[in-house]
Amino acid sequence: MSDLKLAFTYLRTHLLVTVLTVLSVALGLGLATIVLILSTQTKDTLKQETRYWDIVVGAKGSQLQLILNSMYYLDAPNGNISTDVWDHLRANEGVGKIVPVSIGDNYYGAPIIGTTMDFFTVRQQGGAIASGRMFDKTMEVVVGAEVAERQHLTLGSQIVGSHGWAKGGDTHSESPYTVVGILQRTGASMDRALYADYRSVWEVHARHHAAGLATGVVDPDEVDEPEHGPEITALLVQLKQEGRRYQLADEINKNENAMATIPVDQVDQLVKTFISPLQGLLLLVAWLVVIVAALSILISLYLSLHQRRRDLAVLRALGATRIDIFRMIIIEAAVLTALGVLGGWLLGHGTVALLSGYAMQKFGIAPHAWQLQAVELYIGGSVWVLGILAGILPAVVAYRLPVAETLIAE
Amino acid sequence: MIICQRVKKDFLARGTMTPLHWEIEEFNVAAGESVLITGPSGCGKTTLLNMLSGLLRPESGSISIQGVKLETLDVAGLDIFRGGHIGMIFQSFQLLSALTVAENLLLGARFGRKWNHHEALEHMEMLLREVGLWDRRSQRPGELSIGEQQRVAIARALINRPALLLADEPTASLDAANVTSVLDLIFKLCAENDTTLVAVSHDTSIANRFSRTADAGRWMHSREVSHV
Repeated sequence: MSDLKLAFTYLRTHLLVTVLTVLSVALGLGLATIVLILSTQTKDTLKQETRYWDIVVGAKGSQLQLILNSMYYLDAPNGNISTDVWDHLRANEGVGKIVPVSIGDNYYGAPIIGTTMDFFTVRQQGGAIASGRMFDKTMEVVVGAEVAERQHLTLGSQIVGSHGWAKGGDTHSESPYTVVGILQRTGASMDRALYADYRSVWEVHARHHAAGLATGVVDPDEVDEPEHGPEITALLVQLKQEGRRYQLADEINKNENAMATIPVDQVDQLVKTFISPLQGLLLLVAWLVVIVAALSILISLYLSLHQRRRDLAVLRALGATRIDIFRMIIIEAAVLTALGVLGGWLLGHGTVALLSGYAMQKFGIAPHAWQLQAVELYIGGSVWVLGILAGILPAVVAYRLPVAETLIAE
Repeated sequence: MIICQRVKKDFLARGTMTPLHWEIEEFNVAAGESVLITGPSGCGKTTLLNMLSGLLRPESGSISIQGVKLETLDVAGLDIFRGGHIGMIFQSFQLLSALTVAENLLLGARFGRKWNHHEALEHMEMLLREVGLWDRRSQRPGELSIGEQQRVAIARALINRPALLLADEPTASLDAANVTSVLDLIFKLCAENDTTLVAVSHDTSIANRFSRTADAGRWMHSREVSHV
């Protein structure tokens, strides 16, 4: 009859209290786990994208909005820039790769990105095709894994984009795209976008305007033709030497009718000013829940002691030492907390697994729900130790139990 | 086996809470004896058993069991000594209701610290077969009759083959038919295990089963006790 078996036996005798206590621990740890997974993986995903691009150039406005739009497809574009900027930067010797991003249409809310093959060359990770091939002419499109799955797209599917950033705009029925490839799943923003040659985007809009004019739907006076030819939403720039980021960004900001920003700085700022404080706040709440749970362990064990005074006295009469009794209560607290910790991990990871589809659709982040992080072991261990500490007071009470008096009284 | 010399103990009589004082000049029990200590309820018979088991310490004097002076042992030493050398049958059986019959015995074996797990299982099976409850081993005490519970308590007390068995009113809860069978069982098992028996009871009708009796009343004095 081991201490562990004895602990389980007694926990079973007051099952409801045990279950509620385990749930309270699980709730606190589960909350902490959810916060940790989502915030850590959000930070990782955001930062991962910044590894590919040194500078992003776009229309003047909010720098963060430019980054969120052109790299993560999370916000509306600031506006468009002239292709002249692209031409100028292509001629710059410090520039390694430069990729246009044209975001004008969407397919059921998923942005259709006009770009070049260099986009996939730079983004070696996740640039691979799962099936089919890359686009090699206009009106061909490759589809992110999440979009393909959600919209049931297969190779050869014909799709029609809607005008604008959000779904519900005019459809470009006169310019259908053909799906020629489906991208591998990356767990990043690429999964929820469609990619085509940047000229496709221009072609679609040219046809749309032409059709509108022909049918009289579009008033020729209201056509918003760009002053300097076709435009793009942004340029993603990879430098030959990343140390030149700030210098080139300054040059662009001075000399071009566009705004250059450094993605890694913007993401760091976002993390520092928003994500980390929010994470800290939520973790604080989670720790408070855990502390309340530890108190509930203390109360649960303390109350159960009063119901078991006779049993403990009998154990002493049978030869159990005070240390044996102390250890039994501590083991009970340890088992109770361990069940809570296990439950918390299951609750936390399970909730993230349930939320992952939503997170991908909404934020382009697919959390690895069942991936255990080192910090979780630290937190789980801390909660376990806290639970064991909560068992000390009841264990001391049990240790000091007057045996003969208890046996006589009960 | 038991040597009590100049033992003094103050205590409150159960129920009436009258302050009482015990003085035992000398009380010895030889190995293999069976001694019945009689006396009215509340006279401190249980207190004597608790002193013999080391659960209570006397104010003064010496109690020696199997040559070990209990006053020389610390609390943990007393617990360990008791687990290995003394079996106890309580008046109200004191079986652990959360555990099965078998687990109650195994717990006794565990704190006896004599047997490994396999030996404990063997002793448990042997004793439960002996008391006729092997088939009820997976049941909890609450599912047994009073007589069956008493037999489980006897088996648990003897699982470590103790040198000394202390029985507190072993027949008090039993009907006439069970009194005989339970006493038969206790004496049989004590004989098999060379166990010395000291029982306390207010029922003098069972005295003829024991090798001798002692009257607890002669040790008892009523007096004011300043603190207990």
